[in-house]
Amino acid sequence: MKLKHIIFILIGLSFLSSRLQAQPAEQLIKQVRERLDQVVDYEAEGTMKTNVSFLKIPVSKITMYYKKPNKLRLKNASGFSFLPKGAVNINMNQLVQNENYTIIDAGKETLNGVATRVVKLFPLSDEDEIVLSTLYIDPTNLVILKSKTTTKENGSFELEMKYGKYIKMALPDKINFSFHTKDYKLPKGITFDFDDGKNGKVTKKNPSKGTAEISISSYKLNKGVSDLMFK
Amino acid sequence: MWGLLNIELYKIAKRPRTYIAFAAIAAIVLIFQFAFKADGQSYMDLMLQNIQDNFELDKNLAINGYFMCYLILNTLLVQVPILVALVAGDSISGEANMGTLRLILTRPVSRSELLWAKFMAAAIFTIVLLIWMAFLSLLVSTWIFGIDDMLIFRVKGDESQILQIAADDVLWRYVAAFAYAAIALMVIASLSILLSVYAENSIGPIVATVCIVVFLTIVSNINVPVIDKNVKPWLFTTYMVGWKGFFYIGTDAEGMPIKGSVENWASIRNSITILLAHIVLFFGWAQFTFRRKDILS
Amino acid sequence: MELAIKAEKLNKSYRNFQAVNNLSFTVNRGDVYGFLGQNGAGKSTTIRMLLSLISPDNGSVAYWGKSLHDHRIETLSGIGAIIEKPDLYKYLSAEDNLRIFARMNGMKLTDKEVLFHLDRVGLADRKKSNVGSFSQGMKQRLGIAVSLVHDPKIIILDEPTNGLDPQGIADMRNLILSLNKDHGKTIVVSSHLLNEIEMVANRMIIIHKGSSVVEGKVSELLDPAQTLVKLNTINPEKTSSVLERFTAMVSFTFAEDHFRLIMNRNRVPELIQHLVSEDISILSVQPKHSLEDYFIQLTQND
Repeated sequence: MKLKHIIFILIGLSFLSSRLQAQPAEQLIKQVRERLDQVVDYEAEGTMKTNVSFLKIPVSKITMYYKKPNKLRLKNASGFSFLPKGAVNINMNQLVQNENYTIIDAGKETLNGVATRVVKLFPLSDEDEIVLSTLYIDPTNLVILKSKTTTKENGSFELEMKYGKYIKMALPDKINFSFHTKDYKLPKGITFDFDDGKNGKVTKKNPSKGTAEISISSYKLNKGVSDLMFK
Repeated sequence: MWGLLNIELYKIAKRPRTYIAFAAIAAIVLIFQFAFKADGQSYMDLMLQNIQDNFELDKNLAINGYFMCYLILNTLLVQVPILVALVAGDSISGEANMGTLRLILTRPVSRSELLWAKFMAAAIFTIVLLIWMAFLSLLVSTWIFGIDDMLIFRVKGDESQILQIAADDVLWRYVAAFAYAAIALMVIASLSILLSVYAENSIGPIVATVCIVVFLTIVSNINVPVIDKNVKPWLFTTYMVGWKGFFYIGTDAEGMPIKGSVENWASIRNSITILLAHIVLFFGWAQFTFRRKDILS
Repeated sequence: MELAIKAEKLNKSYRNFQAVNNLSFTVNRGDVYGFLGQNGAGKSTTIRMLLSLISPDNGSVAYWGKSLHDHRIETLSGIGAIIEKPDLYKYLSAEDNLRIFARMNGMKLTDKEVLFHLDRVGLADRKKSNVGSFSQGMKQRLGIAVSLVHDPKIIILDEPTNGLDPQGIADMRNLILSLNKDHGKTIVVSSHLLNEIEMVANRMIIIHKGSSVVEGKVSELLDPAQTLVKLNTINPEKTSSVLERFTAMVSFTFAEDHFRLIMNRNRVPELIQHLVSEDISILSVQPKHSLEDYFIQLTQND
């Protein structure tokens, strides 16, 4: 039996259980999508703080550009910065815009004191970059609080969003992006480093996990964003 | 003393071999700059390794003047001791070889002042050489490659790290690094002078200095716990690359670099102390020997 | 007589080799003091001790009654020296060399002074030339200019004629005499050739194996009344009978093929006249100093 078949059986099972929910998951997704649909484009200013054990890099000022239906681009305001590649998938719209998903209700879960609905999305097409996405949706405000996504190429990552002023447009103030990184190891002897005798044991944070905390200070909504920004 | 120093500087300035050092540095730096202008990306790719799977980075901006200078210094400061030895190693033995030493010492000149003048002249030569290096590797590089934040690729123990230093936090580090390099090279100069006091030909002390530096550098890079603990801390070669300490930016608990900070001041202070102690040891020894030396050349 | 240099019981050994052994001598002001010895006799070591280039194992050197060891800088400022060949900075010009060494004596030369000093040794027109391009003789002359630039009271010359051509040797001799007579300099000059010393020095010391063999006035050491004359004639018997008649003037022995006469150097021409008037055919007459013989003997014994 193929793995895919097992997954379908599992999906089938969870599908059954979702039937018992007050509001069907499809409905919820539709509502969330409608919220998101209000935004045609935006240009957001903010900062990004990257936490990866081997990267000692400062908080960078960033600008985030979005244009419907699925263009999203993170740029640093000046100079260069290490920008997490999966950041493209911060784009929730991409997820909910697309109708080619099997939507499965995965129950309820309390997240930071908020009762959320858990919804899993499976792309129908084999070509989709996303393999599986789990969304934690605040049913009252109709915003996504958290998502877990597994991709084919970029590994899996997690998004946690906090909303403030822009909650009506379903745009978060804070995005916490967690992702898996590969171990970074420079070839020995390439750097001729200065050994200050403090090598011993370095307390490693989880070396294979990194986070990027994006704090948005302002959005310029629906003012038009040039396509050049996404090149 | 000032008169003697003047004379020494004049002699250094008049010798063709002095300019070999400047030409050599210019050649190396220009080759580096040309190579990186042509194909710096592949070096970046090598240093970034698999990070590019997870992150995107504007490599063109990362290969900037500050980054280039660090890279050039990393390579050059291994070679500069040879250039310093070329001048300092010749200071006494070269005069002995030429026959001018006995002429100088029949003049009303104190031997210790003469040696001081030689040492100071070597120091000034080293500093001018470093200024030349700074001009080429920092000023010219920033002119060619621009200015931006600086990336430091570092191996710390078993860990590899990438540090990013804000552009406006870099310059003072270079000033400090060059000053540190001057002290480190003064160790080489005083070692060369010490060997020079014992020799009567120019080549001997120069070659001997280079051999000692190479040998000790190899020992400094052997990774055996016994040597790490008992030998390395006492070798001056261990501290030759200590200038990098100024670029190991301090970080807060979350791993964010703190502007204007250095990870380990104590280690830098310790390095400088040990280097200075070596200068005092080598030069003091040279003085002791030279003052008692019979001039037979 | 004012004492210029006093060396007392100088000793110096290198490992097992005693280079200078209990050597004492004095140089008076106004002397041209000859330092004679074969190569390796300890001349150079002694001269270097006089200049504090080498420190004696024991013994002392004093100039004008002051210890060299205790007043080194002060003493050296009154001394000019050339040790062996005067090696100068080859990559610098004659002028630069002169200025550098003047500077070490605390002097800053004016352009006029530079010209004066170079002109004195005939190098004014080579002022800007690199010393590397100079002939040995020119280097020697520049070396002299350098050693005189600070107008020293005492000049010490170690083998100053080494490597010079005959003209250079004659020039050097004249210079030494002129410095002594015209400028009142006290001069110490070393050589391994007696006649060089004889021609310039008023006092001398002969050292051998690091020790003094004889010291004194040249006029006394090379007393003309005791000159050895080698005489070679065609008819020795007749010569012998003629010589018998002049015993007041000459004592003689015959050895191998020649006579060895001891007589006053000044009366050699007179004797020759007598021999000629007696029809004696003279092959050669060579007046020699007994000192030279002695010196040659020393040399040959090694």
